[in-house]
Amino acid sequence: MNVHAKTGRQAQAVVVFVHGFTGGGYATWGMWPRLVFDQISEEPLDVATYEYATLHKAWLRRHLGANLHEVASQLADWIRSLHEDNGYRDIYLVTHSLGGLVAEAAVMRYLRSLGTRVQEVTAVAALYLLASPRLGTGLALGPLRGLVPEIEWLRKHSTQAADSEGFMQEHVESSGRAASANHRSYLIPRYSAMAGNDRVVAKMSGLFGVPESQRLQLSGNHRSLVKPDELNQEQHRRLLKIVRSSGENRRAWRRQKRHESHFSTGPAVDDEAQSSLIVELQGDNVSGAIEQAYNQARLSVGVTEFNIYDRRNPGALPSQRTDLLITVQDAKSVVDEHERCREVVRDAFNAYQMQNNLTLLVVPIGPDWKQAEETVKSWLPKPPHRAMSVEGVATLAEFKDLVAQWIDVVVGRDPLRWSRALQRPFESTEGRDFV
Amino acid sequence: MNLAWIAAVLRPHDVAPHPNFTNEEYAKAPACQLAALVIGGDWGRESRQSEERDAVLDDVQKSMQFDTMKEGVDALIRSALAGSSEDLARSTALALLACQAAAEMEDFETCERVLTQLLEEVDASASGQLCRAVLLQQRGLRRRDSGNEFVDDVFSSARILEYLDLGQISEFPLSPGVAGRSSETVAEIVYSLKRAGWSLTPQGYDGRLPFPGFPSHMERLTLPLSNRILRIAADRDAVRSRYAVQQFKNLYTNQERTWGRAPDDLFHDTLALELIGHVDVYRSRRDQALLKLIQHAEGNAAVDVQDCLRLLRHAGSTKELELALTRFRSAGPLSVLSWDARQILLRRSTPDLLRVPELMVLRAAADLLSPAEAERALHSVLASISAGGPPNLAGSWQHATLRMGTAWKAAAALANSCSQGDEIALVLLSAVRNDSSHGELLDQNAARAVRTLSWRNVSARVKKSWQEWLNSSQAQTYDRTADSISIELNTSAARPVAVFEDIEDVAERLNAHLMETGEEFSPTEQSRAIEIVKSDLRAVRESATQGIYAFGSRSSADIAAVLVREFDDTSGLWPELAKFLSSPLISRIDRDRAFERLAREQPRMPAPVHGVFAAECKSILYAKDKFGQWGESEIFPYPAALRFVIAYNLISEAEIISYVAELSGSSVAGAKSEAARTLAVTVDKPFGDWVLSLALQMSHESDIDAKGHSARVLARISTSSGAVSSVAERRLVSLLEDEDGLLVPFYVLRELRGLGKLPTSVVRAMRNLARDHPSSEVRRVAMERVAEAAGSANS
Repeated sequence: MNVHAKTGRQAQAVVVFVHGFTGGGYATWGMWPRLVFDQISEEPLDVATYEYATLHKAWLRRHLGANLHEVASQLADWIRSLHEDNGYRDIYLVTHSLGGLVAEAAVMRYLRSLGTRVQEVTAVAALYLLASPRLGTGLALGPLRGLVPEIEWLRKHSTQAADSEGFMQEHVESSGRAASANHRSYLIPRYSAMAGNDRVVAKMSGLFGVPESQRLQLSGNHRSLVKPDELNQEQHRRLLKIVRSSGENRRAWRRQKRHESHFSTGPAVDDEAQSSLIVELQGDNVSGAIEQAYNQARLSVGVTEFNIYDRRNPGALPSQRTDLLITVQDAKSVVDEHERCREVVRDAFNAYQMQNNLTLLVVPIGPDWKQAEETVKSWLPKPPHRAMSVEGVATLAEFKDLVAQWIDVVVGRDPLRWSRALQRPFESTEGRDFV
Repeated sequence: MNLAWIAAVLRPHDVAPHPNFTNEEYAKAPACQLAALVIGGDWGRESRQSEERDAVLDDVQKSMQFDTMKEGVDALIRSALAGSSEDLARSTALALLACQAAAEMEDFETCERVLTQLLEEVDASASGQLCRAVLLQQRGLRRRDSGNEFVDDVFSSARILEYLDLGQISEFPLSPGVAGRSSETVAEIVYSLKRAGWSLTPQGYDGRLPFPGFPSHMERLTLPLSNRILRIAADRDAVRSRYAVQQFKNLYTNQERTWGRAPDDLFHDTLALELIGHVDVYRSRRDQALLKLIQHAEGNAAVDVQDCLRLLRHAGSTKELELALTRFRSAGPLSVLSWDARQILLRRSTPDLLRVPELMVLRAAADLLSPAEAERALHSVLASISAGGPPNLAGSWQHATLRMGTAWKAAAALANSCSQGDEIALVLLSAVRNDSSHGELLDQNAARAVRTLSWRNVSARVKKSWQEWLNSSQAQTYDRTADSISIELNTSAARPVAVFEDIEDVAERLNAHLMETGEEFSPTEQSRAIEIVKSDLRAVRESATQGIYAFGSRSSADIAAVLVREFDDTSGLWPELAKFLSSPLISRIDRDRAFERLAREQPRMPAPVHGVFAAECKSILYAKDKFGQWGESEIFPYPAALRFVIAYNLISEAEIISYVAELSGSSVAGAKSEAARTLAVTVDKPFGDWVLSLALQMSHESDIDAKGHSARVLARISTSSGAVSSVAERRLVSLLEDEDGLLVPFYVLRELRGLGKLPTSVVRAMRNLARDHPSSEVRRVAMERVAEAAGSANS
């Protein structure tokens, strides 16, 4: 992702452009990112372009075609990074075609990764979907799936699109009318735009799921739709309108929340099952000593307000997902690139991708840990992976410390779910004699 | 088809596991557990704690809770639609529960879709027909709620029930605690459904009854109530009884404390009526909301008032809604207001769904919305106005002009929030221009909207059109609107009052004189005006001696108070005014405004008049109001007069302490607020620290008016150089920062206007308000004060 930030950190909002099938970070959009960056009619906006490989570029890179699940996870991590590391309060996602499906999947993952009891207004300010085939496109023919994995996402009745849409319908208020999610979990207005001469995406597919008043129909075709020129800038004007109304609504919501915070005591975490933390240990050959160090680490974390269960503990309900997955590897076997080690890491990474609020820790143990760390990293896609870490250790004692430290990190990530008791000041016994 | 599911929602006590007759095997049946959830209370607790239970019951529980309602409704709908071929009775029961929750979220489209889809799947069996009648009755209620035609559904349901062959309906097991057979339960359900259908039948339908056996309006009144309704009434009574007992204990002892007891709630009683589709549900929604509001006002922190505005809207209780809105605006919680307004914006913004209660909420929450939201809401209200105004509430009628007036006021308030005044200003102009009836009602409503609108957001072009109207002959017909627009535009009509004939002419001329560009009175005009006012004061006094009082006219004493302030030579007006104000025969209503104006503006009083008032002080303060039919008249000492006598130093400091203490300790409604208001008059006097002590104490009152006025006092003391000003400053800052509501910040900000240099902590608190307060009006006024304070600091 390339971020173009104004000097002096003026902007609190960023517009992220996500291209479509065979598109490019800049090539898809023409002068649009520049228009957004230079605009002065609305609040200052930084611009980011997100690029991922599709079709031949993906084949060149990994010989298997594009892995859009991985792309969506990475984009979700970028959203988190833009918000938490770079301080953007409002992230607007402008997407083209397949990019819309990727962005929705990324947003779904991002929202799930936020944990429980988050507030309805998150960092994602709005989704602007241009010619995004959310009911699929007739051009994506099933038989080509083996060669072009993107078709799995683009075809009609795509499971991925259905999952995202189902999630959005159930949890996300898509209307941009009000600064309230109104009985839904999140407020993310969705807007769509379609070109009159689009021969790739049918109108119904492109406008599906978006409130009627938030649909825009423009002239042009599938490609020109996302390239405003000197004369035709309706899509750009709509984007600025979205920024204005979403920005105003989000400011109103934040003011309201700040105001409310004076009068409420905060949400209570009352569900024991919900507030317990589930840790799981995996590995090719987990020895008793490793298991022992792992158990000691769990027990050494000084919390009394909630339980830290191992996955196998009966206290961990089957319906509860693992929160921290620890994969241990013999460092020597990793360095020797044993296929089995690779499989274990790949399985763990897949689980991490499929479950959005899972934190993954891969730990090569042994004297060769440093080299093993590099080897494991080479097996995985490039970072950022905010909820994943590869950290080698030389001894079991270090392993114990590392596990305890990561449990602490995971707990710290969702303080609402895993609330620790506040350190209460000493209460005196004024007015009462000791007996 | 297991009709126990239908019994679980419509006659739950017959199938719920009875607390005293336990049968573990029976209690495991999902329908029985559902019944327990529907009943609620101890019955529901058993079911909630049961380890073995159908997952759908979790969804039912979710649908009953505010935070998880959407999730529960979606799951219930999925279960209802997926399982309809297996057991239509189960699907019907789940659909009823889903629809009542969806209606709470005002998602009437979902109600219509689910009920219609299930109705298409009903078979011709007797059990199927019973399900059909239940679904139709539910759809009828939801259509009524959403303002659609509903009578056909009610009649169709009644027709099915009339010809239903109960002998064909299969038996199902009843609770071990119930004697009798399920056929009797079904018969009871059928009768309660019939009664529910009758209750929804509008009065004027006697000539259009669906079949010969359908009772007429009078017959419906004489037929016995259903056992279900009686049971619901008894349960409701039990809740009220528990509440009364608890209140008694709270009032009569300070020993007893109950821990962990949930607040009394009428949710399950309302739910029962929602499920059966009885018209009593409207009253029950209102009662549910009112009970919560009372408990909240009593300071019960466990009561959640989040849903109260929605309940009052759905009950059609506009009077109670108005009071609740005023209270929430004054004292908070503001989040409840903005939340409900946003729900309306998302779910009810089309002209057919935007009724008077919704418009009232939008108006009250206008400054809490973002400009983008306010703009959307404004367009919705303007669309409603274009469509002929908001529709009547189901089952009630209100004059179209009154409904339109509510829409005008809502539009004006929303226009203020998004700085777009032109459209509504033109709508109002068109209304007064095109009205052929010359209706006073229209004049009143248009005038109120004109006063609500912030005219700084109206363009010069539109203002010019109004000015033209003001100069036209038509403006004379709409005097209230003309008066209001004159004040707002700071201009008078170009029709000078040639000859003063009555008090109305004097008032009009005086208003024109008081404008910034107002014309001076000529000596002739001045003496003529004074003569008219004196004669009017005498006339009112004479009428009062005969026990005759007039309402709603101009207050001649108030006009006299303006005259004595404006003109040096008032030719004996002061003595006449003194006689009027000190007469115990004149009602307080006629004297209030004059006393308040004199106390506020303090025009010079001639010494002899001072003597008259000093001699009559006690009698003025304690004379019984001859016209006193309202609560305010029960307050002694007479608050407006007390402020007047304090302002003119007619009583001693000791007497003032005594009178203010009397007011602040009074249990009469409004007395505490009057005490605080009176305290504000004493701030400029060289009195002791008792003013601060009383103000501090009253700033902790639960009465928001008392709190607001005492905050004014604290604002003044905090800017003084006295030794105790820091105490006032600390409390003032905490009031500004920690008050959820608009009244206190508005009062304080108004009081701080023009006071010069302000304490740093107060300026910081105002800066926070200017940046963070959810109300755009508070932010605007706070910003003005901050700029003013910065100006004073620089100078």
